[in-house]
Amino acid sequence: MAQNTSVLAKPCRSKRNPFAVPANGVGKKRHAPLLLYFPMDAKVLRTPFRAKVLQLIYEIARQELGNRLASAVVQASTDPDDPSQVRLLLSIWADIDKCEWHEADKAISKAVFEQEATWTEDERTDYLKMIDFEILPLKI
Amino acid sequence: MKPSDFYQLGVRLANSGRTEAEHRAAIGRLYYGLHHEACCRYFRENPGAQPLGRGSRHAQLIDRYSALRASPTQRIRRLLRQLSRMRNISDYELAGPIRYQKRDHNAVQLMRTAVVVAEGLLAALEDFSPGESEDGYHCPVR
Repeated sequence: MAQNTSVLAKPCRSKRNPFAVPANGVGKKRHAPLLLYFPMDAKVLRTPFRAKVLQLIYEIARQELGNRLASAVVQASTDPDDPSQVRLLLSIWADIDKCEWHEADKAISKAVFEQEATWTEDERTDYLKMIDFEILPLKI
Repeated sequence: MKPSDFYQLGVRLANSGRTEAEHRAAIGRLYYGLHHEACCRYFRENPGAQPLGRGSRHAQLIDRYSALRASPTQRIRRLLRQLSRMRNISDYELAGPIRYQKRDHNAVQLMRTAVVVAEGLLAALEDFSPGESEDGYHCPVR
C-alpha cells in the first residue's frame, strides 16, 4: 500500500524534526498547560496507578513537544464498539503539522511502551484496559 | 478486492470530495480499509491464531494487538482506537459543528486529522508486517 498518498501537503522528508523549546531561549515562551481532568466521571475512574500513568504520559509528551504542547485533557471515553467499556482518554493537542505529528506520535508511543516494562502484570493489564491517549495536530 | 481498495477510496474522497457527506465518508473508508489491513497482517504474522468473533471483531482485533508486546503493535492498538473514534463521530454525530475531544471541528478538519492518523497507522503496520495484504480476504472470523 503506497504511503505517499497524503491529501494534505507534500510528503514528510525529514527523519527527525525536534520541536522542543530552542536551547537559546529564542521563540515564544509559554507555560506548559496543566493536565486537566474533565468531566467528573473521569475522576471517578481515576486510581493512584492510573493517575500516575496519565501524568507520566503527559510528562513524556511535554518533553517531546516542548512549547508546542497546547492542551492536555483527560476524559471518560466510551468504546464505540463496546458501550460497556469506559476508559480514561488523554487527548494531547499540539501546535504541530502532519510531519511533526508522525515523529512525535511515534516517539511518545515508544517512550510510553518502554515504561510498561517497569509495571507489574496487573498494572499493565489495567493500563491496557483503562487508559488510552492520542496526539492531535492543530496545524493541518 | 484488497483492504487497500477501501483505503485508496478514502484517500480519493479526501482529495476530491466536495460535500460534507464525502468528507465524512472518507473517514469511514480510511478506517475500514485499515481495520481490514490490520486484521490481514495480524493473521499473516500469527497464522495459528484463533479467528475473531463476528460480533465484536473490531474490539477483538485491538485486543490481539494489545497482547503483542512490541512498540509498533502498541501504536497500532492506539491508532486503531483513535481512528475508530473519529469514524464513529463522523458517521453518527450529524449535527455540526462536530464535537471531537472538546473542540469544534468541521468535517474537513476532522477528515484531515483522520488522514494524518491513518498514515501513521499504515506506517506502524508496515513496521509490524511489511507489505500490503493480497487480493482476497485473509481475516478469519467465526
